[in-house]
Amino acid sequence: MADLLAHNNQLISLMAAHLIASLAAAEVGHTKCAIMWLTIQSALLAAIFAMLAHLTGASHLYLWAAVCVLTKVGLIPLLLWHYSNELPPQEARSLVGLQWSIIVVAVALVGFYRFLHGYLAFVAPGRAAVTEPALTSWAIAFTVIALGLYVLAVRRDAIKLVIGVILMENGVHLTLVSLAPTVPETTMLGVTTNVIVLAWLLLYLTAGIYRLMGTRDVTTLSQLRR
Amino acid sequence: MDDLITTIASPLPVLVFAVPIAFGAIILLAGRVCRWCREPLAFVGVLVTAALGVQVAREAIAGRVLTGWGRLLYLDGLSALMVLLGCLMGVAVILYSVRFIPYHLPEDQRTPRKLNLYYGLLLIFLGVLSLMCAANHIILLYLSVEATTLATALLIIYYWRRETLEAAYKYLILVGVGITFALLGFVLLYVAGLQVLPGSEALLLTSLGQIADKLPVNLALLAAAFFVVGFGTKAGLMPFHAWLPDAHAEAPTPISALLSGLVIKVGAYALTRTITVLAPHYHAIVVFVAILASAGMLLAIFMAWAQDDLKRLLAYHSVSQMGYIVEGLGLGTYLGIYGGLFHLLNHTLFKALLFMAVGAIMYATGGVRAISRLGGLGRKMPITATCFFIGALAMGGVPLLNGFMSKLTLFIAVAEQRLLWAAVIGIMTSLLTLACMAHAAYRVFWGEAADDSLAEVREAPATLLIPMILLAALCVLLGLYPQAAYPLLDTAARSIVQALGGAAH
Repeated sequence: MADLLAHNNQLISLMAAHLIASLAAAEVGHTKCAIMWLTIQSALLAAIFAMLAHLTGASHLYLWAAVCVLTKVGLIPLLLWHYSNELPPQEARSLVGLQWSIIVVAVALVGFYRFLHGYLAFVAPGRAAVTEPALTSWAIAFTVIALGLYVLAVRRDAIKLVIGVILMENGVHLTLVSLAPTVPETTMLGVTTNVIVLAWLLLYLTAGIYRLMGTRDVTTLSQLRR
Repeated sequence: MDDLITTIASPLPVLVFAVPIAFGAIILLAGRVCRWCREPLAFVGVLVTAALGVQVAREAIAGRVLTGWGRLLYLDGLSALMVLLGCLMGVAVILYSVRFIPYHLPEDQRTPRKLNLYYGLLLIFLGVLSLMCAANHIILLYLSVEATTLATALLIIYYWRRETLEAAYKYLILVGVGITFALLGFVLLYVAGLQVLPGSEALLLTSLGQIADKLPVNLALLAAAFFVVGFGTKAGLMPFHAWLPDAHAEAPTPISALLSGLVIKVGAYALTRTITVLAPHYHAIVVFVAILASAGMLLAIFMAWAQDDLKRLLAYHSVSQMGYIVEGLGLGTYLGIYGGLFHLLNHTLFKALLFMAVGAIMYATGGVRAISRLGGLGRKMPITATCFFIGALAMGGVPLLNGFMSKLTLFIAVAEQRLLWAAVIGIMTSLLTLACMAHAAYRVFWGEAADDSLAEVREAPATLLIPMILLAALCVLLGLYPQAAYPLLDTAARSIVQALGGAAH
């Protein structure tokens, strides 16, 4: 625990970089660049797992990090890359601009941070959750989840929506490791497998929609609006 | 209630999901070499699973709970009910699909590989449904619910048209995101449980149910809210229902019957396993669920009235009827849970029947499902018309049919909890449902045909009629003799109550 607190700033820096990479993945308009940023975001997530493993002595978190590298840094970006090859490189224009995204992320981060530091006892699951770095980690994790939801709400590009879903899932993983690092690695494996299959299926549908309708703009999916 | 429950280790919890998945895999592989094998294999797979489900039900009624994989799997009365429902629907859908699917597939898609995929996915869906029913581990429950979503998405896009892709995309995005909220709820529940239980125990639903009253109150409410959002999306509860009308309308009609009859019950089942853990200790959850369910059931009826498409009309009715089920289950009392499960069973029967009747109309008319284009079909399709009327009246809650008995149980349960406003809304919704369905049935089966092309319409073939007649017969049977379902429903309701450690009454 003393180690954890001593390396608090390093861990929080990693998490802040993870948040910035998440925002970049959400905002960058060129699809393949966005995929690169998502890969960086996932690599930072793996680094967070590895750092927590080193600091807490919970060696099974190294396995979490390895699984994260294999799946979120390897498989998922590969899938995204493969399917984006079939589509035009530039995504369909977003409903809102970068400035609004920055505002939303900043408000979410400050809001979650202040809520968790001021009112954590309201929902505190236990003593570990009321100390650093769990509090900041939790705030960043919820901000990433909120960012994923925001992407789903304001982006029009089908591939960007898949990135939004993956951002949400990564945020939930960060929540899990922040609050309950003792959860078995098989849990992590199961959840990650699910994300891969979901991402693949969404990309498969996206490619099918593009072939049949010639667009990756989800706002044009209005055949069924009657 | 002081029933003695014995827990015994058994291979059944593993077999009940492994068998249908194995049959599904065999169909996908063997179907390439043996073109006539797929339907018989599918039937055998479902019947073997049904036999296993019957054995589980017998054990549950005898007071025995079956565990497997060191309590990761847990089969009780509720599990048995869902597995048997799945098998019943499986038999009906497979029989119905034998003629329907090849008829509606475009010529260029009518290939052995395509048909193998259909039956293989059906069996795999049944397998993951059974796995969900057996899951006692919270992450296993989450994964199996998600797996049912993925399997059914592939079935929704089966015809590979623009509309099906759009419907499946919305389904995956909305339900996938929704279930992520449920995962967040599980994370919070697990972390809260860790304060009282050792690590591995805090992942088991049975253990969490025993200590639900010791969880931090606000955390329990937050987790419950996430579960309602997450599994409510899967169950098609308003306002999380946006995917449902599109998916039900554009999927192949046997799959629409499966979606409405079974897939949305997956969400209700998962809510049962989670919310009922918390509800008896936190009255706020009961009121919240009652408000959500009541608002949803009423609003959905008004949306149903506006539909010209028969399948979309039935889809909105499903949204409405799910309100009844979730309201009953969310009460956390024995009578509420019994009523919710009874309506879950009845809704599966009459909604599948209604979708199959619509499918028969589409088969006979070359794909017409717009009410404004139909008319006078009663004389030409008397069996289909009778089945449709039975389903419609059952859904409307007419006495002597199954829907009346389950709704009456729910109204009494709600009134006992002094939620009289919810009972009034339920009764109003029931009357509006009856009116809406009677209006639709009148326009479709009486009067003059709106379209000259309907002059040559004939009754649907036997393979479409037999499952409809079976489901209609069950609707009548359970209406005249509701005690027939009592042993299994009582066992299922008690299994939930006992998981609460007797907190429900």
